[in-house]
Amino acid sequence: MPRPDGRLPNQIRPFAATPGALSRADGSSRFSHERTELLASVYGPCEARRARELSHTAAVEVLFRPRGGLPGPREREAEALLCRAVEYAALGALHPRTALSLVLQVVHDDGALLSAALHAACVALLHAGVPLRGMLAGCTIAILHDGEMVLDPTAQEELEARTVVSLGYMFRTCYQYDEGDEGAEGEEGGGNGDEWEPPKHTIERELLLSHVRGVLSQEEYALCLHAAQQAGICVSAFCRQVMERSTNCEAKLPSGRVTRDQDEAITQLLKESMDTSA
Amino acid sequence: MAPRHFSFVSPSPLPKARSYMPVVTPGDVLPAEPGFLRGHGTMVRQDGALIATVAGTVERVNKLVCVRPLRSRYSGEVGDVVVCRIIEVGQKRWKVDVNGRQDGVVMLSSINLPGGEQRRRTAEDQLNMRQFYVEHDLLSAEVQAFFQDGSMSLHTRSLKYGKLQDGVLVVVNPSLVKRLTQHFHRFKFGVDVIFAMNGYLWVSAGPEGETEQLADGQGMLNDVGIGDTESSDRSAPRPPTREQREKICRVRNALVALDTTALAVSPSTVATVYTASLQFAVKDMLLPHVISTIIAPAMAPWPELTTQAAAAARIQHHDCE
Repeated sequence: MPRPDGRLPNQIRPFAATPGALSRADGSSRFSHERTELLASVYGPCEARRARELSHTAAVEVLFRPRGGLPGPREREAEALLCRAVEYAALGALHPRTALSLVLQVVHDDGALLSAALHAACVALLHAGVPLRGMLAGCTIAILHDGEMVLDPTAQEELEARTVVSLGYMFRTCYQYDEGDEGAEGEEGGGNGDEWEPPKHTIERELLLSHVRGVLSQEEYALCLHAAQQAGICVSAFCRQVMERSTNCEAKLPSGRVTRDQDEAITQLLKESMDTSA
Repeated sequence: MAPRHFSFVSPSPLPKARSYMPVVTPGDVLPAEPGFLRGHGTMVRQDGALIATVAGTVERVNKLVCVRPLRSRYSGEVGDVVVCRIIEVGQKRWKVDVNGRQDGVVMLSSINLPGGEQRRRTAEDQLNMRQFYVEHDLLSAEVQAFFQDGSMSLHTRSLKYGKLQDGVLVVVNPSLVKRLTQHFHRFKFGVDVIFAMNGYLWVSAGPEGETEQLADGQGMLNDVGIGDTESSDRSAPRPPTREQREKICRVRNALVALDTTALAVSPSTVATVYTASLQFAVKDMLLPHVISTIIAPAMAPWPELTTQAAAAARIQHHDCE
């Protein structure tokens, strides 16, 4: 059954990212899932206030700002969830006695805000050059009253849903290089091939964030986990493309949108990952 | 009924992105021969595989594998020339912002006293600290040592270091500034630039008409570091003329152009971009299509880069229209 905006139930909205959207932050990004849009900025690792300074690791602080008004309980909950995820993903032990603050400003909320925030945070952290264990990505899934699952719901769909699940994963891509393949990698750098082909790889994942509003069965949760993994793989592949582009000519590209040839590459990547998980 | 299909919409096709510079992202397993050495930007997983922790390019020196991040804050080394801003005046030290992970420190004992006097610093000196440097002052300094906690100690105990004035601060990505034999550079067109390693570049007017290169930074600062009235009278800093200010702005725009296109910032690239920009007005230098023209000579050794950056700049120009 098509959804109000014409998407399939398992279709996520087109997303776009601009790393380096702000000039004064150490790292920043603008990330949008169609109409849901956030600005993320990362400050640090930099000098911590004496009271917040930790002797063994960096102090992570996440500020979540709503589009208007003061942050309320909903924002504090998002802050706590994202803070846990970022604390785990960032290698804070490399920068003891420093502070890392991440500010997320909602520009427009049209559903799936928590996962969009995670993606914005991921691109901003990559842009700031903060050491991470892996790429952060996830998905929000709404379960409607008739039991149908829809990915990346809009605000209207979230309102009508029985349950809304937000999941965040950390992905690590392990390329399997055959022997003597390293030379081939160099050639790819020279750019003599026209088609970008992802090398053989497997993807490891760790669940970092799970937030459920409403009730759901165990089977439904398992399905949600599976769907969020698949969606997250797409997003992390997209974030990689964004970072590759940003080396080309930083802040000169209109946005890191997925082009057709990358689209094919990602589809290929997806197909492979589903073969491995099946 | 596990969802199987995710679709993407391709709104505006960009020029073909061939990764001529392979980029790794955190979590990627790096191919490494046995007995590798773990460098910056990498970590070893429990199973012994080497993985990247930052987004950047892989660099290998024999067995050492590092990932150089695309951007990062400045991590100093002893002997680096830096430009810093005073953010706090303490009991016997100034805290300064050096664009690093922690604030730097300038001790009262590591500055030159007025008139070059050599003596122990007294309690009276501590009370007079604000007469030397106050909050928001810009200094040029050298990294003297590192403290136990990793923060850096700076010194200005040479005539070439001290307070900066009558110029422009340009902040660039610190990884674009390479180590030089001489970080104080005087350009032939009468502009002085301090190529500070922390990415804070100081552009000021040099003496008119001189063509020699600055040997050791002498005479670059107007001896305003120390606030006693005699010395500042002796070499009263004269405000730069309009032509000098225009040249300063041109150099500033050249530096910004190099920074936005992620090209190395060095005396030779700055001079190249400056020369190429003379056909444009200073205020037009940062228009996207002008940027691609003026940086082209600086990119000459890498023609592939030129076309890519030019294409990117064209797109942005198109967006502006």
